[in-house]
Amino acid sequence: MARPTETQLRDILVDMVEARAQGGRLWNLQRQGQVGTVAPVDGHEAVVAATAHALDPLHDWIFPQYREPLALQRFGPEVLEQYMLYNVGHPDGSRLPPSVRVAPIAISLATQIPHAVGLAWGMTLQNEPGVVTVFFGDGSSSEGDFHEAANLAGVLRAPAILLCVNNQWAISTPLHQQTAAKTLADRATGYGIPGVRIDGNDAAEVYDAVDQARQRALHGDGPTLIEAVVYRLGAHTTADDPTRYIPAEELEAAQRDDPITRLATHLASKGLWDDELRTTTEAEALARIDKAFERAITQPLAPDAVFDHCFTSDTPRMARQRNALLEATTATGAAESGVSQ
Amino acid sequence: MPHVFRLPDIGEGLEDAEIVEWYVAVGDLVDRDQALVEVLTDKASSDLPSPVAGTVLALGAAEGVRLRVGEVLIEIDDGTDSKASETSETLIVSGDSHTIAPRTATARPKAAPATRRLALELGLDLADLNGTGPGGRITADDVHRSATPRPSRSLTPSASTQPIETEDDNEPKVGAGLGQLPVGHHTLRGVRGIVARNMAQAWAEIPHIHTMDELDASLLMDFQARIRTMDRPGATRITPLTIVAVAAARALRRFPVVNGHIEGRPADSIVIPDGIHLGIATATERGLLVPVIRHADTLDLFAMADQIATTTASARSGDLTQADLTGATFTVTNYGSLGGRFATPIIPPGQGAILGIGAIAERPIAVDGEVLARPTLPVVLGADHRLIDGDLAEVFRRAVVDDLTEPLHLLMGG
Repeated sequence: MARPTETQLRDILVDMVEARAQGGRLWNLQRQGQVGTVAPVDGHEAVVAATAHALDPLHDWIFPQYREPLALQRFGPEVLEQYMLYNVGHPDGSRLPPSVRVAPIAISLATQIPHAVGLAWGMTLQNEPGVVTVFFGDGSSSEGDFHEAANLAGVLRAPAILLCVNNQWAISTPLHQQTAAKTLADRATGYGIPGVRIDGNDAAEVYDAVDQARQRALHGDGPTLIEAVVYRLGAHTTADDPTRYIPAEELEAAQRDDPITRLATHLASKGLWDDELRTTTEAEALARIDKAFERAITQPLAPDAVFDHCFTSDTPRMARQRNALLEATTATGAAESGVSQ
Repeated sequence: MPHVFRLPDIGEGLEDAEIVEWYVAVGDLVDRDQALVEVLTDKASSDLPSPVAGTVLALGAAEGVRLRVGEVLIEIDDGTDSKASETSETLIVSGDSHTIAPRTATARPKAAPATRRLALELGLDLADLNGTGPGGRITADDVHRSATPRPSRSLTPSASTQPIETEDDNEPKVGAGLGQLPVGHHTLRGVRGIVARNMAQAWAEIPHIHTMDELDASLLMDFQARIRTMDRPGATRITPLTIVAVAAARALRRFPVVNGHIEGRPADSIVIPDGIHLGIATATERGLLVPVIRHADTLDLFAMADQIATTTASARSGDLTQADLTGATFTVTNYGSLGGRFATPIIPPGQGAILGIGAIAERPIAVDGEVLARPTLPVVLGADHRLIDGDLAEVFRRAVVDDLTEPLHLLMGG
């Protein structure tokens, strides 16, 4: 049991506020046609940032889904830089330096969970200290990959934290159409592992739950399923219009429980947070994302880069396709610069 | 240096978008990320923010025009090079080669949709306000400052004790464009596309039954005329639609099942909502929209009249968000505003019934063994037979008819 200190909570809040500010800028970049589809982090800041702070960036791994990167800066500035590179359509954006223990984002639902469990098992086989935390959503918890990975993690006592961020909506599918189970944490029983359900808008509770799961894993007691209950405070992605299906009253109620407001109110009462701090924090965050974006759009992008990270070397068919693409782009002289979506 | 901002694909694979409203005009100074324009795609309406700070040189298209992805949306001088604004007067938009002149000074006042709505709610005309925002844009503060509430022209015809009028604030105007479309194939999109999808779903899934009646509207017209003399200053005029909406809400409170609907594909549950939210079918230039009056059973006649006038006016001016158009539990449609007597309205998906009203007109009816000419109001109830049997449909229809035949019932609560 380890509650975070007030100073830790302030560091977590700084990360949350930065993620929210950068998310706003990223949304605008998408609306300006400068980046591809974006999944906003709004409403998930506490669970993501507090988890990152409860982990050890030198030894522990994080497998994000696709919504988390802006709130993972505790694991290194490279997370933001590579995320922006990804957002402008550069395949290298999914490759983080080996020192950064964050996996690339996973668009295909739940595919990251078996990867995470596999890595966790591998770490025990190689006597590496550390745990692997994998983020996924309520929708992903209905996928076969989740069930297979959770079952295997239980059998192998893999040092994994299965962190289900239940934001109530799988795009437009509400939770009650997702599962007949009373809670997603209940599913842990079937895998023989502990399942806990926490308030994902409470940074301290998240920190505590992740810390306990981490201690269990490090002591060889195996994985934990954490269901962090939050509410998605906006669109699923930039291609979504949530006003079509989210009742306005429900969203308003969720906004009153905004994790940032909640933690900021608490820390302000302790004299550790104020509007000025928020303003400077946001300004710094925006400067950082602007810089990362500039760097991303000036990164050279070969027209055939899309083939580069599939296999060690091209299969015969891929080689033919790569050549055809190169010939076509040379012929038209139209190796388009900038964004490819 | 002129920065050319082309219409981006803001969804996944969008082809074009309609320019709904410009928030800026030529010559305006804009900040980076400042909202420039509202566009309507097949998926949603969105604000597009400026990619650079600078001065607006030219707008790529007028409001109402559809731009294809990749066409020039706006040109902005970002101030990095001063010799560069020669092409600023007009932009040739590729494709149709129509020339779009920059917005003229006679355009409607600049204000965000939320500000327009606020002004509407406060009964202010934007044309009378001085904008203090960038480029003379009217801000919410400007509206609040000048708010000595007074009747808005569009919403409040002067209260009158004139003889019975049967026309309605909800009356669709027959536009010149009604029924017109050039020869050829046209992609279903926008409001038309949404209507098409919803109606196809309703028609395929809901087994409709309709029950029709025609009531003696003498007392109703008398009630309307007399209550109009009691109009509070500034209050919106009471119309037959107002009275029908109040009667419907009252009947829905007595019969919650009619306020409910069937859910699931295939159908697997009955949903009884915890509020009565009336959809008001409204003809607009963009097509049929159904803005929602929330908690309609809590409104008296005056409040109902206000809400119907406000929401239908917003629907016509395009200021409603998707949230204003969803969540209805029952719909009222005034198909009679163009003279129709009976119709068989289709129930919107997610609802269990719909009430249609025809035109009030003098017709021969039997009164105490004599045929008399009296104003009558035709009413039609369409019901989902999966949820509502004929007996309930009849009882509900009769509850509404009774209240409209003797509208004093509406003042008696319960």
